[in-house]
Amino acid sequence: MVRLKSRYILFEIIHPEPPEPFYGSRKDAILALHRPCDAKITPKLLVQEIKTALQNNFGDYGLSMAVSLSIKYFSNRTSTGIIRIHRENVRYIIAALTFIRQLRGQDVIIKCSAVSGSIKKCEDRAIELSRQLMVDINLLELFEDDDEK
Amino acid sequence: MICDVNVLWPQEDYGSSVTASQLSELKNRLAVLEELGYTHVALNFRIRQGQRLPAQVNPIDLSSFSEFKDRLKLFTRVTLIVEDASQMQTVAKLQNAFDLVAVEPRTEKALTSCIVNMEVDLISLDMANRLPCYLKHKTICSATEKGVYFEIKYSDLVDTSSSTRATAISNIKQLFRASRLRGLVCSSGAKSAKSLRNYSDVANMLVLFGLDHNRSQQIFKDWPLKALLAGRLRIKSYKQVVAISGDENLIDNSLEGKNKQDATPYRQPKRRKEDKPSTT
Repeated sequence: MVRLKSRYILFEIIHPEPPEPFYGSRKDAILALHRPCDAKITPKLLVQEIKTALQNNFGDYGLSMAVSLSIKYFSNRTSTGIIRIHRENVRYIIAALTFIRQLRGQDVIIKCSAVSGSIKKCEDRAIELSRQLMVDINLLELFEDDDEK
Repeated sequence: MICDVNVLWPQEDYGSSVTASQLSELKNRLAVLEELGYTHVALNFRIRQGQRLPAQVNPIDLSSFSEFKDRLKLFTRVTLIVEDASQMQTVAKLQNAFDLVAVEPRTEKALTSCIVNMEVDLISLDMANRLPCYLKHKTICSATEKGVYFEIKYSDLVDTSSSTRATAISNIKQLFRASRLRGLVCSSGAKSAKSLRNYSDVANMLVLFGLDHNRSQQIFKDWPLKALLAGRLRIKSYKQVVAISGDENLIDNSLEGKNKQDATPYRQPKRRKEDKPSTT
């Protein structure tokens, strides 16, 4: 039997315009840009936004790419998610994510951080990335101290 | 080593000054760029042709960006908007004050004379509007052979209405065809933080428009770095041939003051004995 070939896209939502300046240090920047996103942003809304972006930029032909699209995971607290898509259509979906400017009236940058053939690798990468962020803001040391106590 | 060689400086001309809120907005933009993985960033100051140059040619003061000292490498760039091809004398003065010199030709004559006569690092065509002329392969490639790079701004694609986006895409495709996919540089050209994007996403988008996969990475890494190196060599080397120490030190501008000539190594014979000379 031939397997169904699919790709998993790991994406992060970055909020570029917080109310106050955040450039002071790397830590402030991470905390401001990676803040949890609105509870109203749901996987359903994201699929809808991707489809609108595809329709606007690539027309009906582009919209046909989104037929097998599904969001496998989305977390509001970390603003990360995983999309599953057929292998041939990956580029169009990433381009659509790049073209998205606003979600529910808020300016966002959607950054696609990994593309993989298996969902396991995407999960690993997501864990690795958030661990790296925690190292950058020194949170990891705090956790280790707690364990020792 | 991922470069963004076009981050707009808020000043429009020499007369106006930068307010504190504009500066903090610019710093926010730099923090977002850092988050997206960029390492080398050039601040772009745009001037129109025919403006009188003051004594202090470079208005960008990199020392006010001390927060980013260990996080980003910052450079200065000037873009001269050329409408009349006959008046090109100002370029020589700009060359010594900025790390990168770019021109934005608005007419066909300006484009050809920029390629033939001027010593610049980048040519930035205005992609959001109709191009001044049909881009001929011969003209564009003669520039590429000289070592001049052509710039694509992705803010034209992301942060615009759909009609300008269509124009920008068709112009980018024209440039791809005329340049045979060589000697291109992609940069943000962003006026605000919201139109910045991850570099690999933009590269992916350019692949959809006809760039090949291999070069889609070079357009953010190798080529802008080469343009930057050429610009740095102009101010830091003797006749663009001999420079003290390797590429890394040429790119590094942490010790320089506002007047770039101060840091030119061949004008300080005492320092030369300490470093090992090598040719670049």
